[in-house]
Amino acid sequence: MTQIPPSPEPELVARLCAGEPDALAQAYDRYAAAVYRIGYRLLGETADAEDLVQDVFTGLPRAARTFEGRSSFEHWLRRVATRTALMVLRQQRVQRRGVQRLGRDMSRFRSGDGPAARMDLESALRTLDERFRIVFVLREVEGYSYQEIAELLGIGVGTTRVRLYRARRRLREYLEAD
Amino acid sequence: MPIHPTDRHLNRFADRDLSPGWQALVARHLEGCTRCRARVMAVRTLSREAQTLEAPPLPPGLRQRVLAAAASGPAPIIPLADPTPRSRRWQRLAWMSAGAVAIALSLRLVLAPAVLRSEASTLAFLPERPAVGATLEVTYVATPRLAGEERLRLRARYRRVGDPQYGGDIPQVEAAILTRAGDDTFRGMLTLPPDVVYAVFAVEDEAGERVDGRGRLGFELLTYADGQPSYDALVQHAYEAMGRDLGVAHAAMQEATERYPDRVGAWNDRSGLELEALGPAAEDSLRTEYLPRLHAFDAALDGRPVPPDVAESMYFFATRWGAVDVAARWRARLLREAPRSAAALQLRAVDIVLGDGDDPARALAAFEALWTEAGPHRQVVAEHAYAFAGRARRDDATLRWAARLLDEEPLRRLEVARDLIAIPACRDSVLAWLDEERAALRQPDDTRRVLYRTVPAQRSEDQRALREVLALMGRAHLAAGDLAASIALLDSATERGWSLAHFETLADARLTAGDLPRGIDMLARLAVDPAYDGPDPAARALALVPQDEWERATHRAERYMLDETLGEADAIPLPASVRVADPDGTERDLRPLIEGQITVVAVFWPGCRACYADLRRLELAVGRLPQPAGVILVSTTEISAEQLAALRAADVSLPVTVDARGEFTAAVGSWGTTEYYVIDARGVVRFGDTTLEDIPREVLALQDSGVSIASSPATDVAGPAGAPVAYTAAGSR
Repeated sequence: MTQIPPSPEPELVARLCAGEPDALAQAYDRYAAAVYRIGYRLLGETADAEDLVQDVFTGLPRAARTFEGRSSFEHWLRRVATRTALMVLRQQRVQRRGVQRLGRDMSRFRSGDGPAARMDLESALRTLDERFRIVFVLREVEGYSYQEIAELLGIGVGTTRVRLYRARRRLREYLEAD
Repeated sequence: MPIHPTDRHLNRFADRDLSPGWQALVARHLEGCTRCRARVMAVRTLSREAQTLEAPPLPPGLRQRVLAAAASGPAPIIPLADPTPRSRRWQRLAWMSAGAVAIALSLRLVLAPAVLRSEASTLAFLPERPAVGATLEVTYVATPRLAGEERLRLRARYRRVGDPQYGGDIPQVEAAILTRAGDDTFRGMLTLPPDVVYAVFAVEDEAGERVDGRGRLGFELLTYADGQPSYDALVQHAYEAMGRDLGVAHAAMQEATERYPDRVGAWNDRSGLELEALGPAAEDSLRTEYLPRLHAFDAALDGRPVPPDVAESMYFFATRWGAVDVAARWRARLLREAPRSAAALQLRAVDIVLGDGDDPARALAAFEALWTEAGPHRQVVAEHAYAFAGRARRDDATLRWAARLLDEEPLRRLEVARDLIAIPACRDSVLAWLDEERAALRQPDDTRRVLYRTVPAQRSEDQRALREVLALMGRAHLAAGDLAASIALLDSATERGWSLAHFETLADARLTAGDLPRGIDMLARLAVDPAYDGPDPAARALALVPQDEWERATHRAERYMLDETLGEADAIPLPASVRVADPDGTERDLRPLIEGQITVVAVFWPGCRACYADLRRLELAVGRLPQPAGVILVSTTEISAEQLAALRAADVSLPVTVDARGEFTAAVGSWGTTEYYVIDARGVVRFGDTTLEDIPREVLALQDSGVSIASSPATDVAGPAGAPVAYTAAGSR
């Protein structure tokens, strides 16, 4: 029978809680890209995404003490990053400027292989209302369940479904019109 | 066209977010509905694309900045708890108190069938209450459109026990030949096949050019046992009607529960239809009504041997209404006692995805194991494994499962080819499947012609399908870099009719190949079609050729468009009077509303809210035409004030009438919703059951040919009243 190697996460969490600088560097190397992606997709600008990475990782040694091991550490950390990004959106009212900022920033970015469809989707995402875009990103890009999205946003599962449905419909209309 | 699941349901289906019962219901619908399959596929494609979205790389200096900040400054507070959702309990309480009354009222509104159907034709059987396998004397009293014939063909769609809901794959057969027995009366004999429990019929002339399908419903026949419609006949009646009229489907299932109250399957289906009709707002009240019945069945059946379909119904009934413990027990029984039933295989396939979905290799191995033991319902396994392999981007497995799926369900060749054509590893197989499809389309199979469709309409449908097959093959060759083969196939596709998408692809291919004249011709076809809203073809063309050359090309394209479009025109005159009703019930004649200008009539079902978007698109498309044309909506059922308000809220401001007597749908041979008809200024239907993309071109062609002018000479309506008339394109441009 194949032995599954023990997860390195508990040790890393313990070292983070103890405030070891090496542990933070290790956590950064392992998870920063995921946090950055969340920030970029939700906040819409690379500068905001960088700030998010900084906030999450500098706050991580303290926050890690609340990690109870009910999910993987990465999943927990991604939820923390998502909550932080949503808090930024709420507090700084980024959503009011989000569409314009997103438009400017995303147009600089080109993805790798098969770029045409992705660029269409990038463009289409720019046109979405913030409420719908957040749900779409959390569901389709970050892979959260309806229940998780509802919890993260403080809305009902039904509302989540409706927003996702509308996001998809508008994206489809945009892409078909294109 | 059938009544479709809402877009929301299709979205949830794509997410596997529906209850197993609904998941299965929608899956069955998808088996026969290209439109909904395309929508589900669109959702999944969007998901796939979203999953491949990348973010810019991490800035190189960020790591150092973060570590420095952590070492020096105070840590920021980051949120560790989710926000508290607002309570909606008060809304539920308010609804609960009004629940039972609301259900009754809502069902009456939502499921009200079309009333006062036309009695222009009748189809009667003797004996009136036949048993399975009976021999019947058939008497048909014809509509004026068929009364002049000597012989008529009776076509049937036979349903047997276990046939699925919707059932798009059920074949149509010739049931009998009816011969004239009086002025407008025809008679014939018919023996029901021994296993048929329910049948729906249509009558047509021998050439199959004129069909009487009793509006949208066809003529129905139920088999009887012990003096009453058999349980299986009622169920199959409901399953057939699900495709076209939810009200009729509900009435049949309600009758099944009343006559056979001990059949849990009927209660399960009935409750599902009510939930579908009333929507999620009624869920709590329906649960209150149906849970006691579920528990009564559970108590009566628990521990007793039951057939697989009963275990399946108990599981889905319990799941639908949230009886978690009951559902778990019946799920276990279903898996234990009938592990190879379709429902059990579906549950097991879903378990594989949920359990091993993160480990594609393991999940695919589990699907292989399930496939070897699956038995007669193994297409369920193929369906799930194919979808899973596609999502997991395992091209070799996707191809293998696609081949297995097509072995089981060859009619899905085109759909699968469309899915896989962009995957290089699948290209050879896709081309082979498309070749098979092409061969099949060249040998028309009348069993695939649905009852309401005429032979010419089927021919046109086959041409359309053939056109798509050829274009797909052309695109596959284009992607593989074989420009010559691609152009040959795309040429062949475009010769078979007008298609903007194909012109666009062929323009690219020809211009890439350096064939400037014919590339410009394709651009010109795009330019003259009012439905085309892509990148400006003129701008592209004028960068390549001088102005006068482009103008000559667009003149050629206009003439070609006119010829092509008018060549496909029908000529079915409406009766002298077609009674419809305003939404408030006031009756009026439709003809004065449409005469004097070319009019597009959309036949719609107001219960389908998802369809309102199409009506909006229709309004916009006609509004953009250079010359005005009329548009009228004809509802197949009474429309409630609330539905009318919802229609207006969807930005549809078109006039609405109700086909209260069924006279319009009978006159045009309409079968389902949403359908569009383009009618000329004299009340002659020129384009029946057309599409949103084709309507602007069709209206434009009629306007250009001069038939929109009410006072023009009647050269285009030369036939006798009630008979099809010849149409001559004026070709005025």
